Amino acid sequence: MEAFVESLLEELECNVVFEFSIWNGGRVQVLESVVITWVIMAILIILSKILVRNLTIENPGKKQIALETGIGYLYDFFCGLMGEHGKRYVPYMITVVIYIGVANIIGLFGMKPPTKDMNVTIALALMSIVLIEFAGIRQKGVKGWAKSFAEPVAIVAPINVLEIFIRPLSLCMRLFGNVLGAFVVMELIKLCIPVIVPAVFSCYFDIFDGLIQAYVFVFLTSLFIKEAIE
Amino acid sequence: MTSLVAVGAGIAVLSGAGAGIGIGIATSKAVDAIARQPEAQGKISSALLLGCALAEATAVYGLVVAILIILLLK
Amino acid sequence: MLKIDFWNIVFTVINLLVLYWAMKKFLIGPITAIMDKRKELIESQLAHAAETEKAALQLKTDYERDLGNAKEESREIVEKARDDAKAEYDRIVKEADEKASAIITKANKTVELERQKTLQEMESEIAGLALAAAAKIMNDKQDNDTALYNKFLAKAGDANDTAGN
Repeated sequence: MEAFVESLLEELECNVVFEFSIWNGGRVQVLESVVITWVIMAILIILSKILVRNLTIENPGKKQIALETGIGYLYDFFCGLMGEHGKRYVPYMITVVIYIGVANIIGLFGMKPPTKDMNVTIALALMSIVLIEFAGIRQKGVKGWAKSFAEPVAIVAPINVLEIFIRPLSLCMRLFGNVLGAFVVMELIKLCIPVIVPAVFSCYFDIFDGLIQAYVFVFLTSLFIKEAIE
Repeated sequence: MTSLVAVGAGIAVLSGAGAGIGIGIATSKAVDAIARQPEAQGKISSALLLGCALAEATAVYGLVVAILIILLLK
Repeated sequence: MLKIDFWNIVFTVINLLVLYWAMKKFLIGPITAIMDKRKELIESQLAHAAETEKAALQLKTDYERDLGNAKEESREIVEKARDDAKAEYDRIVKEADEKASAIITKANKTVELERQKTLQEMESEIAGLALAAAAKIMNDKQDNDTALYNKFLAKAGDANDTAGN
C-alpha cells in the first residue's frame, strides 16, 4: 500500500523538466505540463499543416470532408452560442476545445495530461476571464461595461464583481478536479485489476470525461462571453 | 492524526451524494421530457449533459478537497 | 500538481496564444476560407442557373411566339397563294372565254361574210342565169312579160337562200 501511495504521488507530481536562470538571478523551472503542451502544439500544428494541404473547392476528398464537417460543426456551434457579435472569438474557442480535448486524452499515449497540472488550468481560466471581460468592454465600452455590474439592480454589484473571480476559479477547478479525479480513479482501477477492465473504464474516464470537460469548459466560456456582449 | 485525516477526507467526499441526487433528478426529468417530446431528444440530451457536468463539479470539488486533505495534512 | 508557479502560468498563456495563432493561420483560416469560397461558388452557380433558366424560358416563349407567327404567316402565305392561284385561274379562264368568244365571233363574222359573199356571188350568178334565161325567153317569146320575170326572180332567190344556208 505504501508503495502504491508513493507511485500514485509520483504520478500525480508534475516534474520539473529543466530550469534556467533569469536576469534577476531567480530560477525558472519549466514543468512537465508545459513541455507536454509544446508536444501537443507541435502535433496539432504539423497535423493541421498536413491535413490542410491540397484543399480544393470542387470534389473534396474524404479527408477534407471530414475536416470541414468537424470544423464547420464547431464553428456553427460557437456561432450559435455567442451570436453574430461573438464571431471574432470563435477561432479562440475552437483552439481551446481542440487543445483541452487533446490534452485530456493524451494520457492514453502514456503522457501525463497537462490539464492535470493546476498551472495549465489556471492559465486557461485566466485567459477565459480576460477574454470575457475584454469582449464586454469591446462591445459596450468601458462605461457600459462598468455599468453592467449594477444590473439588474445596484445592490447585486458586489456579487457581480465577485463573479469575476468566481468564474475563473470554478472553470479552473472543474477542469483540474475532473481530470485529476479521473486520473486517480484510473490509477486505483489499474492497481486492483491490471488487465482489460482499465481499458473499458479508460473509455469513460479518459476519452468521454475528457471530451465532456473540454466541451463544458468552452461551453461555459462562450456562455459568459455571450452574456458579456449582450 | 492519520485516522482523523482519513475521516476528514471521507467527509469531504460525501459531497458526491449531492451530485448523485442532482444528476438523478436531472436525468429523471430529462427522461420525462424525452417521453413527452421525443422529437426534442437532441436538445434535451445536450442540456442534460451540460447539467450533469455542472452537477458533477460539486462532487469533483469534494474529491479535490479530499485529496488535498490527504496530501497536505499527512 | 498543486504547486502554483507564476512562470509556468505565463508559459502556458504564451503557449495558448501561439497555438491560437497557429490554429487560426493553419487550420481554421484555410478551412473557413475554402468553405466560404465553396458557398460563394455554389451561390453564384445557383444564381447562374436561375439566370440561365430565365433566359431559357424567355427563349422558349420567344420561340413559341415565333412559331405561332410562323404558323400564321404560313397560313397567310397559303391563303395568299390560293387567292393568287384562284385569281390567276379566273383570269386565265376569263381570258380563254374571251378568246374563245372572240374566235367564235370572228368565225361567225367570217361565216357571215362568206355567206354574204356566196350569196352575192350566187345572186349575181342567178342574176346572170336569170338574165340568160330572160334573154332566152325574150328570144323565144317576143313579148316581155315583166311580171312573170319578177315572180321567177323572187322564187329563184328564195330557193337559193335556203340552199345557201
